[in-house]
Amino acid sequence: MIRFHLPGRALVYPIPGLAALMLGALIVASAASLVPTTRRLGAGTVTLAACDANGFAYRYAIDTSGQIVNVTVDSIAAACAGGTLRVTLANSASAAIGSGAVALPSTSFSGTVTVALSPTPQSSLVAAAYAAIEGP
Amino acid sequence: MRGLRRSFVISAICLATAGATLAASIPLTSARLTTFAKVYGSPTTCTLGPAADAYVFQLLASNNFGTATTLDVASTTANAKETFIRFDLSSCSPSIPTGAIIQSAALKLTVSALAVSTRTYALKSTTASWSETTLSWSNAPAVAATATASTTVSLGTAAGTVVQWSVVSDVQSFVTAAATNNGWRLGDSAEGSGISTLSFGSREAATGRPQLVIVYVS
Repeated sequence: MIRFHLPGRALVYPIPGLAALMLGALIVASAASLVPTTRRLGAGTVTLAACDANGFAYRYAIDTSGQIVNVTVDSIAAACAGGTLRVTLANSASAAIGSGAVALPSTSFSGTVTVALSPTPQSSLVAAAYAAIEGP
Repeated sequence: MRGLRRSFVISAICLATAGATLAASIPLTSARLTTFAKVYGSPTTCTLGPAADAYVFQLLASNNFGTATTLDVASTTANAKETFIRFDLSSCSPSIPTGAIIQSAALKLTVSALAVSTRTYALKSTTASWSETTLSWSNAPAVAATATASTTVSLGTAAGTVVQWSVVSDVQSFVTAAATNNGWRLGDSAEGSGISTLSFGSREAATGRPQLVIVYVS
């Protein structure tokens, strides 16, 4: 609701779309200044907690044409069991050139999973790997 | 609104780590999120000479040619020759980490005598160990069913020409221990047809020795 004040009377207009747009703009404007410094990140009313604090290890598989077909992620904490792991490989321009996701078993989780990539990037183009586990 | 806010949060994380729009494809529906970023450094090059090489000769099936100065490959029926070569990846300094990404790996052989025909040479990984000093046609190890790489050498290719095969997939497997490094066997892709022999310099040669050139990031 947005209230406009005019001489002698007040007009009230429900403009939910505009309000949402303004809020969205506020969120986007805030995003660029966020730099996480801990494993817990709060934004508004949502707090995100990490299930692993020590990082992952990666092992790649490459086909005969030099393309990375999958990446095996090791050393995933047991607390992450039941979550979903997504891996994204990026080139030197920080553009995503391959990604994949896999559900981590909720029981008997070994701490190691293999993620198939699509598309399969040329190994010589990979400059960074990003991994995110959502959940459990 | 909750979904929007969470998407925004993960966007912020990835913007902070990647400086890009990678996060746009990550839908987030849970209140738990774990993220790690691995940024690879500048490429490192490791150039190795062979730890062992030898050729085997079908006609002299029990003979060993581990100290020869050439590595021969021949297609001739009943007189075929095949070359075996192995490199010790642990000799790289610094050592190649298990998590490295092999950007390229090339086996380079130098032609030691003029090529007298156009032939294609297939490189296959060997599936069992072998010794340079005891290897022969009779005890040669088995090889993978599929060639790692094949390269065609044209008629008239002069001595001193370097011929190479890409072995990036095998080297990556060796580094991660997904496969055992027993080296490779080089043979004529149409062994048993035609009459052709090509020689390359071996590790005992004065010049034109084999090389494995690996470029990786870690």
